[in-house]
Amino acid sequence: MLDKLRQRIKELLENKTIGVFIGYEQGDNPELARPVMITSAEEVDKLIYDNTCLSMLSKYLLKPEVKASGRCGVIASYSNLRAIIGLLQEHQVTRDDVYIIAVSSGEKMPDYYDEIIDVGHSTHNVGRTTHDEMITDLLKKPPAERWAFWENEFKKCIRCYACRQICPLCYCNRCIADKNQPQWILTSPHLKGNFAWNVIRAYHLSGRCIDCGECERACPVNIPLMLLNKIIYNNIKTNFGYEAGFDPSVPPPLATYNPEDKENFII
Amino acid sequence: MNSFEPKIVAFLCNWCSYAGADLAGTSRLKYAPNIRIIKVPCTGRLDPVMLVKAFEVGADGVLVSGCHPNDCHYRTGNFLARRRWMIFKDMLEFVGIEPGRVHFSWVSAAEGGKFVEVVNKVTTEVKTLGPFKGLTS
Repeated sequence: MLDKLRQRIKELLENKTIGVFIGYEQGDNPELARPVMITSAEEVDKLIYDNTCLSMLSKYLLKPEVKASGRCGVIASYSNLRAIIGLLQEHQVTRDDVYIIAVSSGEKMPDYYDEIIDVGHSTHNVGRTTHDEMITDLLKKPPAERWAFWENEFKKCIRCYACRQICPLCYCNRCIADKNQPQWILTSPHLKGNFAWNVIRAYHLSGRCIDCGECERACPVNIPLMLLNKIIYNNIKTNFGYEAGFDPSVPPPLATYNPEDKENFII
Repeated sequence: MNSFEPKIVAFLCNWCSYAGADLAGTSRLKYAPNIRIIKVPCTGRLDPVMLVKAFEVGADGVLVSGCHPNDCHYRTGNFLARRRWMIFKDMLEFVGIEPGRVHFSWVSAAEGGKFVEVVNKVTTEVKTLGPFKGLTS
């Protein structure tokens, strides 16, 4: 599979279909491959693809230096492909600027790729099955206990913003957390600001989160951030029948409305 | 705890609910004095971060009120806001803020009476829940 991939990328670079290719190479960490950008056919031997290839590559597509290198080839796992579709939907990249080589590991891939390679093994689904159970358990508890749980989690936050930096859909040039006139989100690592940051971060991804779980993986203090994302994700799925990252032509759920939307909570 | 008087921040839209509050006043209707009104151009202007801020600076409850569906001055503001509220309210509930602290309502400029009812209902609910101590430390 790897030889085929390297050969194909070599061809694409040689015939100038793509100007740059974003893939993975072996880095210092044996458990996590390092993203790499390749611009010449001689470099293709660096490329690897195995289940240490977890990092999302879609965010590199937004970099000006990548955009300036011509059409960009990218290897896309299931989550990565959904992230790219999210970026297409929000007009951050155009379809002609990317050449997507999808890597299927059993999931049904959304139909927005140029080529597809099937590898039997699964990547990018590290420990994501327990969330729904945790959500149900938490919802059974009284509000005070839920608050105690989250207070404990939010207190750990050191405001490194790794969750934001890694998130494939967090791409604002100026994040609300960096604005100080007015300062909506306090910057010191204190419960007040931490609460606002973590809640607002998740809210800003409502209808956009593609459930890749990267925020949680990147979090150095292990806050279960995906619980917050998932509660919104499930809510939108139930009420609006929408899941992000499948179809760039559908308007995002929070940018549109239906006059018949549920309003039983409104007095 | 009967002496507890909650602080409630009320975000009212300029075109309907604020005028509704005004009507309640000019009609000499009495309602609980616990709300602090903040006028916003439209409920669609309301960023959920403002609700978070309200709790952060010491509010015990929050009320958001705007025009009835199809009555929005900007045509779609309240429809768009309605979706955001639904999602945000569920998330606040999930992190442990009691649902009784966050309220949403439609009050038109002609509904001074309804405004009084809403404010009294919200105040009673927040009073029952007691002060919000989550972010005071």
